[in-house]
Amino acid sequence: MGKVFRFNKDVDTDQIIASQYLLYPTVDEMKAHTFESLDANAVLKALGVRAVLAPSFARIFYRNSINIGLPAIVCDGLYDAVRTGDEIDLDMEKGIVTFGEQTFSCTKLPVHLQKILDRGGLISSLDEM
Amino acid sequence: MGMTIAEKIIARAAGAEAVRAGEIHTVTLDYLMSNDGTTHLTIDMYNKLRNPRIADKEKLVWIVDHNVPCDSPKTAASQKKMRDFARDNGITFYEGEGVCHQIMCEKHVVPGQLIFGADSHTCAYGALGAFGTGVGCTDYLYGMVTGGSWVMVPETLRFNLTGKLTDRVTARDLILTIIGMIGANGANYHAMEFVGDGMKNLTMSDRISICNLCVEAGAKTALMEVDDITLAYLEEHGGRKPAACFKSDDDAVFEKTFDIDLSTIVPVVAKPHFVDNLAPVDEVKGVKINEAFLGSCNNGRIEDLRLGASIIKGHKVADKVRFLVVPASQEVYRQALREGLLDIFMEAGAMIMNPNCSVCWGSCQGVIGAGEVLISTGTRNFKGRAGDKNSFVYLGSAATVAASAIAGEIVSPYTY
Repeated sequence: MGKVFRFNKDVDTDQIIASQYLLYPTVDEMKAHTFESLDANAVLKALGVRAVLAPSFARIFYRNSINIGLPAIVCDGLYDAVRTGDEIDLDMEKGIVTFGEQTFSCTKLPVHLQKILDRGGLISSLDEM
Repeated sequence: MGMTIAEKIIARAAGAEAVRAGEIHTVTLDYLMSNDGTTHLTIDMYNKLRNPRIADKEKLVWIVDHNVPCDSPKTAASQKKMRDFARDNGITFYEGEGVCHQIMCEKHVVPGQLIFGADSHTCAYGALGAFGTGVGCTDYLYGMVTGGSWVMVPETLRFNLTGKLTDRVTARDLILTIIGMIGANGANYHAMEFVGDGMKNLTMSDRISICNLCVEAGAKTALMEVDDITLAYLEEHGGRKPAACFKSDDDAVFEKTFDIDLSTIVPVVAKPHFVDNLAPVDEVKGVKINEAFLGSCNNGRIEDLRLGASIIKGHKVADKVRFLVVPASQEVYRQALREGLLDIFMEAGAMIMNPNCSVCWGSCQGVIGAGEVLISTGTRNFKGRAGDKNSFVYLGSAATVAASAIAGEIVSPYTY
């Protein structure tokens, strides 16, 4: 079970860094040109968020999320059914969200991807292969 | 139930009989393209791995195209890192030969492939019937080390094209019109598929231009069927053979189908600071410009240069206006040279630059200052994209750009 935090709009990471600064040799030099949250997904994860559910995601957010080990789950209908503070259950292997008596189908994550998430994301999983 | 082109390509890459939109699959990648925008960051991450390794170096293509020739010690350091790594690891490497997507289309991509590119406009490869999609460094590195990745199968928006574009209306006007119609998020995470009788009237150059810009509607990829025009292009470019030629099945599921009669498309521009901020050219005519740019992975091909040259021939670039002409590759550059096009542009007072991303990228050459206005065939017009954060970029076709360069203000492509 996990507690719901319901937001109005999803986060857009596209404008975090102006593309021409990407050519700088190190991330530290690029940081001077970014907003405070270099990686929106990492911030959410650090805050203790265990999964992000939404009817749809901007692609960069979606991939970043999975890749740092924060499940991003597409789930229709849930958004209108819950409020902040509600408790829901998420079964990623079966692709089912349960809220009281109601169930919602959501993205199923293949075993391979579950393993990546369990290992803390894409890069961490490379170190354990 | 049938499958779309996108589903068929992912099924092939996943080794699955059938896949459906919304599913996540583990896939083998055919190519991993990366340019000097981010490769140095990927290398840094690679070097920090406990057991760094490359699954298959034949899949990697690295292209220096964003800052060519190099303009600062900082970017020189980034490029040296990339060059040295490519040499030490036997990675296919291009430098100064052209914009990455143009090089990939000319030399590598074949139909049926699934390709990751560390660049937003990788969706251009759909013109060749390949599934190209842009990724960041993390995804790139994972693909580089394992040869594979994960993808969510996208839903498809289908565009059924009929008829023919009229004189001086280009594929660029068509795709800008579509983006204006569905919006900058209109195809989020979707594949955009282009089919119909109208396809036979679109050249490979047109098709690359269309697919290339689909990311500006939020698309994950763009796809087209393989036909005689595709096969002729592959034959002319190294005699490449398709890996697989896919068409969507009759009973495939499309989220939505749009019917577009090409003869109804008119010249348009995207106004600052969004690609979907669309207006017919006539609505913005009279806007004074400081610079005009003909080039980029969207419109730097020989067909674009021919169109621009046909308009500017016998005219001069307006006083105090800079006109940058940047062929998308060495192949295009040399062809333009042979056809006398570069001479026409220079006679008119244009500057011919070496093949590279140029001012479309807003870092290397031709950047504009505060308060300045650029009319461009580049891919994006976001705030600050072409230089100062208080500058303005209008996007239009090669014809509109060339005509505007003569007038010194935005004008209809029919003006000259």
